Amino acid sequence: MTYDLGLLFGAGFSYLVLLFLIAYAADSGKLSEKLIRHPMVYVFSLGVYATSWTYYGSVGFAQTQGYLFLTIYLGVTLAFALSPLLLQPILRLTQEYQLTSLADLFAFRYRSQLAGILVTLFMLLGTLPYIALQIRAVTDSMTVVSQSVAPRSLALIFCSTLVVFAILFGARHSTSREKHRGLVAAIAFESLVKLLALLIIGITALVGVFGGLDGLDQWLRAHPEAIERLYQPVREGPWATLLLLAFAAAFLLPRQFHMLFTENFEPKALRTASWAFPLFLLLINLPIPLILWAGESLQLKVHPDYFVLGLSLEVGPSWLPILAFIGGVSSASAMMIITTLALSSMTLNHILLPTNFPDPQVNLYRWLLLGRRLLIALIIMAGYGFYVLLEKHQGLVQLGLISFVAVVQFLPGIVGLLYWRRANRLGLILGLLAGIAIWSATLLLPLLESSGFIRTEFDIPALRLASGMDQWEFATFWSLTANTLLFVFGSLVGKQSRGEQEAASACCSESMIPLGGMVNAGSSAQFTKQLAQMLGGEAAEREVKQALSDLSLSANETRPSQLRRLRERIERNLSGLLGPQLAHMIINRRLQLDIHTQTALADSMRFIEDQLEHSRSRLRGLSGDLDNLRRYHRQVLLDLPLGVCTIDKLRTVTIWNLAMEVMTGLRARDAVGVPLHRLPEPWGHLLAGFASATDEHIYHLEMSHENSTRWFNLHKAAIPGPMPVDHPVEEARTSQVMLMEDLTNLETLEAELAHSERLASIGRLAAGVAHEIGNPVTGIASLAQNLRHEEEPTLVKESIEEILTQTQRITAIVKTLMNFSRSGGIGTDIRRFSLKEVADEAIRLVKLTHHGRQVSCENLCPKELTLEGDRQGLSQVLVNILTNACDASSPGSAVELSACEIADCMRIEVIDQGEGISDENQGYIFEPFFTTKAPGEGTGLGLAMAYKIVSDHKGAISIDSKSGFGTKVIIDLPKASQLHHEPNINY
Amino acid sequence: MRETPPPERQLDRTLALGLLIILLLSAPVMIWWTSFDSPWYVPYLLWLAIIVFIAMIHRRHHDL
Repeated sequence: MTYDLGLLFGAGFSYLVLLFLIAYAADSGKLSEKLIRHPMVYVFSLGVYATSWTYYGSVGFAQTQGYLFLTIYLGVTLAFALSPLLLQPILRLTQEYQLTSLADLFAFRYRSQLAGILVTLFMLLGTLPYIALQIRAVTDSMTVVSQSVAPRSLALIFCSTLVVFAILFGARHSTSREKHRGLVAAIAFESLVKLLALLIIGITALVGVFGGLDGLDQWLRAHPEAIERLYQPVREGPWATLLLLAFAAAFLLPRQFHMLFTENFEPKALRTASWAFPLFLLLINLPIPLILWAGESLQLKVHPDYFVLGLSLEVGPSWLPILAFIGGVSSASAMMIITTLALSSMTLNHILLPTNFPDPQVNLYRWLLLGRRLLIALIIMAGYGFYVLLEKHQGLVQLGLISFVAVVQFLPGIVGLLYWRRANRLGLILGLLAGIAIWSATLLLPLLESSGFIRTEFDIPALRLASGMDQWEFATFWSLTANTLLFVFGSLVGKQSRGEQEAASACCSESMIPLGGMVNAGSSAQFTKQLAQMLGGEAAEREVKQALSDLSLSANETRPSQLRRLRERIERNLSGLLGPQLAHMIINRRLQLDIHTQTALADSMRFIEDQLEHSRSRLRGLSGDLDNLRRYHRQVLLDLPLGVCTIDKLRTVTIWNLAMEVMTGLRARDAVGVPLHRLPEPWGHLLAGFASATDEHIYHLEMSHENSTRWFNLHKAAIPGPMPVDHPVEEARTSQVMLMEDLTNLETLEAELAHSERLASIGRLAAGVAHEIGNPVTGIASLAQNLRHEEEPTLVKESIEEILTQTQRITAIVKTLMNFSRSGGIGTDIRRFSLKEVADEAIRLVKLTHHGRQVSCENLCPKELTLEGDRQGLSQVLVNILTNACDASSPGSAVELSACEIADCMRIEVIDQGEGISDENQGYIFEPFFTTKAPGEGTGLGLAMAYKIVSDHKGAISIDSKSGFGTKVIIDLPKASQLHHEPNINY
Repeated sequence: MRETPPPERQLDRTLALGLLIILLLSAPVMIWWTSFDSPWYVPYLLWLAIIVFIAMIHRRHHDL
């Protein structure tokens, strides 16, 4: 059975049109989002690994190398089994830093444009034979099916169609940081097609040739050498070498890297892929021995590489060869499209852009899109050129393995990237150069020589034979050994730049270096202006807007720490657009850092905490325990019912706990990273002033906020840090921790208690007041009655004068009571007053009490003594102490109130001759609600209130008493008031 | 519902799995499963067993 070339071309072309439709449906939203994001779509898209080498070449490989052909898939299984150690860290890096290819990853980690160029060139060199292999597989398959030589023009048309597809669905966006949903869906479909095609051909082989499993068993029993031919090479061949090559190829081949990391929508899908992708590979390889044996059994006339087609022509239904051919086209086209996209991205970022960066006047995005599309066309056509030039005697597997040995050269670099912080660019470049040189000498030159392009004097085959190694073993062993040794040697000898150290820290997640320096540009508008000089106005504006949106920042952002983050974000976004090295260079040039400005501690803390959050699940052992401890301490600090605010040397807020949020109404996210003086008022003024003040404590700071009065205690302490020896000025500027205590509720409660105590005192005075007022009222009544009958003007006048005197006496009593009972907080009426007057007033009040009247109270205060303070408060102190003295004194005894000056203090003493206070009670008498009086006679607040008022005046109150010998209460008060409405701070 | 094992144990399991695969594919063990009377599908069964192990270990993984 043969098929017309035109029919095959039509079938292949129709299949590619179907791919267009699938990709279009996915891109335009006609395929459900759930389906496209399904992990199995991702798994099938990884099936791009199975190229025409797998589809056609595996049978030929199995025929010559037995089960060695499985190593190409078992190596991948091993790589996916180690996914948490290998693939997931790379996925994290590529997504976090927007790295779109292996060259990007190396250029980012080793901060070397040369590394990017080397990787790109080597990838191009190593992959072009592989692309040529795909084209050859398609044309050869046409030849096999049609039994006529396929003209090269068909290959050219095939390549041109792929160029159009790759451009339409793989280069839709100017930047490779965007995902291509249509492309992923189409590639997943291609994998499904080739899997089904191979399975159907396998079943056809089993049923059509052997008549089922029993027939196969019988045939195998009749041909035991068939199984031995599969096992024999495993015991003798380069099993380990091929496993290693496949292990590296699983994620380092450009198409694998692209589908695994660059086009990954859902990081969790990698978890499913770790088992589902090896299962896909197992299924696709299951029919290979059956097809081989069926081909041998039928003694097919085609090369074993094309048994898949020969068998379908021989025993299958008429549609089977077309399906088999479509499966081959599917394998080849998927590989070519994805490899080309990956290589075009590398070439653009690492070769074209660094050498021909567009003028700022040119639209950058359009330029990049055009460049990417042009490169896609160039790379596919270069593959076509390679196909035309290559001699045909090379098997499919040979061409593929040459690429595998090429990519394994990146293995030392990738291991160093993930797990060796000291690895550096010198080691990488030396190792790669050695690896490339040996690869070229052992594999590429013999290939070119056998194709007749060049003639060399090297006798590599003789050397290989002398070593007793297989071709692949020889090339892999020597190239990888030289590469690894030089990589290690160069890394040990060379020094890392600061940029390289930072990148190494980012790659090895266990270490963290925060962002250093401050951006010179002071706003996002200045960012745009600076970037426009290289990127052009439109691109600069778009990139800054994008970064602001990514970080949820406003365009008016001016906080230095946030601008530093913005700079970092723009660099990452540009990395996805232009490659990491170029992005780094542009950012360094246009958005310069002042590296002499120390990094705000807030930034460092935020950075480290972000990193810790991100890597929490990766912290193990001691690191994990320390992180748990850190979280506990941080939570304690955040939940502390006391406002905690820490500032760094630059006076920038580093910690702002929940209590601070409640007290100030300022959210931590708005306060952290902001210099103190730029916090909203009144907090900025208050805290910045306190931070500069020499006082470490401010008590009872009263301030008006939002139409209410609030009281605070402020405390601060320095947090010493390492200081530069040659910068003594800096010593004054250390980090500080500030505690803020909201006293408003306490103050209100105290004021209420004080008022209650006064009212209670008035209650106790009520009887005395009634008596004191009663006497003059009686006198006034008698005088008034006498006046009715008095006609003598002189006597009338005298009576009236007497009435007025009595009235004034009543007024004085009422006024004293009114003053005493007036509500108000302590410290609201500060003035200088005569101590004797206040003492007289207090004695008058005390005399109104029952005990007060029975005791002789003597005021011995000198007239000239004055005191500054809260007059009402001190009056209450004296009333409370005198009341206690009178209550403790027996009737007829005396209570003396005296005062004298001692240095800067005024000492007031109240001495009674009462029963005294026992030693046991002396320790409690200033505590609230402690009383020795009978229930209902005292509240227990009198002396506590006196203690509070005296303490507020920065004074001291003490007791000198002995049971049975009276009591002396000593009050020391500073002459000048220590009560303040405003904090004593230097603004 | 089963608890997710801590990351440390998950990584240990991954490493153990990698070592097991290397052991199965190493020369001394390979001689056993490539012996002359082994059925043709033995490598596939071995491969399937490895995949089942991977699925068992990775299915309950959180992102590491």
